[in-house]
Amino acid sequence: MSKKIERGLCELYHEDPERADAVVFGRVPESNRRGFLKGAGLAAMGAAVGGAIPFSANMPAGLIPAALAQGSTDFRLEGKMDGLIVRNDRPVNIETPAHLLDDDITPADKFFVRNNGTLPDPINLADWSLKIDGEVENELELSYDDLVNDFEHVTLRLQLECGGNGRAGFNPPPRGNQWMIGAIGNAEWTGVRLSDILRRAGLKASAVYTGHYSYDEHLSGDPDRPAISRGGPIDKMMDPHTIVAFKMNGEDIPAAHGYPVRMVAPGWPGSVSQKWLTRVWVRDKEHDGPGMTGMSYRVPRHPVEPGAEVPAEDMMVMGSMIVKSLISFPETGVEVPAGRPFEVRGHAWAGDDWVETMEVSLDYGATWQRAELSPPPNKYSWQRWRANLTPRNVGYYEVWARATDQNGRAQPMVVPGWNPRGYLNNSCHRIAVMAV
Amino acid sequence: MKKKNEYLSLASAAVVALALSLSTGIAKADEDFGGLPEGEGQELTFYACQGCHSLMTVTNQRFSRRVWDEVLDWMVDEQGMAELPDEDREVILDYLSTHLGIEG
Repeated sequence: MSKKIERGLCELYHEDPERADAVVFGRVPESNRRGFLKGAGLAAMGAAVGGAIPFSANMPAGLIPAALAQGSTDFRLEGKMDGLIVRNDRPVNIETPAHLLDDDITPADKFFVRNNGTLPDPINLADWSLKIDGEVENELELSYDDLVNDFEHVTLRLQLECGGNGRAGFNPPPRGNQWMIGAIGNAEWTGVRLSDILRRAGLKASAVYTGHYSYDEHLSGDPDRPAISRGGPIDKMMDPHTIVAFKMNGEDIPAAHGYPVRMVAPGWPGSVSQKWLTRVWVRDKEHDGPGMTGMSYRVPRHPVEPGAEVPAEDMMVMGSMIVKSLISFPETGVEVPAGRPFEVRGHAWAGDDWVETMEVSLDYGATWQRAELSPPPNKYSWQRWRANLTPRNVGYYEVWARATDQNGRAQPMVVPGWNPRGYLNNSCHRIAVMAV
Repeated sequence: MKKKNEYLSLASAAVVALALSLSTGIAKADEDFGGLPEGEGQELTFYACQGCHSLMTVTNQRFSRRVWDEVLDWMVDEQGMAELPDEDREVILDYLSTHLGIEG
């Protein structure tokens, strides 16, 4: 119920943000679109967020206050810790609220879940094998013991993010789970390098792409129809950080995350990292399994206007994810003492790249303060950032966080280019803070 | 664009939501038909969809009639859904674009 109503508010802002301001809070923008909160409108918005808004003069028209825009955490589902957000229960898709992502290494019970098909019963290890075929000199059929005993092990902290993380920000709303910011995790994965396996099989010169298969089932129950079968270009799949993993945070990989073995191709849309992996088909062309063709996991070659109908031939497969960050502490809506510094912290990542600068703002982006940013413990891990911020007066503030990658590409404050399926929204995360 | 009274009810609902979200967890209303909003075509829509997936897949979305039409095509062409009789398809499209629609 509360979810439905929150959605109503978000929709209202989607449809006509300035009108929504006027209707919900009675605020009307002045000609410069700022400095508009007056009289009853200011009081109403203040009452809604629970206090005065010191930087109200900077607050853009039509901006839904972060205190009201966050996802609901009223929902519960078995198998995961309390407080996660269930986006769908068949197929199972679960988001982690930002404040539960504070760990440097994301525990399994807080890790987001993205499924296309069934959540399969765990296979008996003796029945599991991994086939490598296609454009290779020697086909391989590896048992679990072969995989674990025959190749060098690596343990790496690797970010995995759903390509549609942030989809809820796009308007008109694209198809798919309406993820806010929490379809991201950074677990410590142990496995073997896919490159070692592919070298053992011997890549032919014709090998250009992989196609991944698994033992989960299509929701229709059709055994001949894979729920999803994606892959990646050979360069990405030969990267030493792309691994065939059999441990998550030192334990067997949980059923929801791909037991017993999954691909982890960090920094790319999570769907490249097939769960419940049973086969890597080396292809002589871009893979064309379900999830590779049509509109799925594809973006327009050229920018399009919101809501555009984009012909299939103008779409291309997504590659690396892009620079992004989140605020994992404090939880949005927290009370802090006015006039004294409080700690803000979170993580930042940038797909195949890395984050060089992290900044935070307490005044709707009018001024930015540099945050302390740690280097990643290994390439493809997210990076810890932290800062101390001081609200000068009592009232409602928002913390905005912005990461910039090593190539100078920063997160946008507003939602970036609309695309038909709602991928790659890397706009800044923001939280509400009440100084008392 | 929504009518004025709808805006007002949404607006007051938003304020109620604020109050409620601060209190205890709230039981989910409308358990019937997987949470589909009431209206003509609710039942038909439920049975057309629920065989394969949760109705959350439907209620989480807001599309124009054009996009709902594409989604039904996609379900049939790529996801193994049985073709719907034309009459049912019209009722379902009307239902979806009315109750889970967007303008435009």
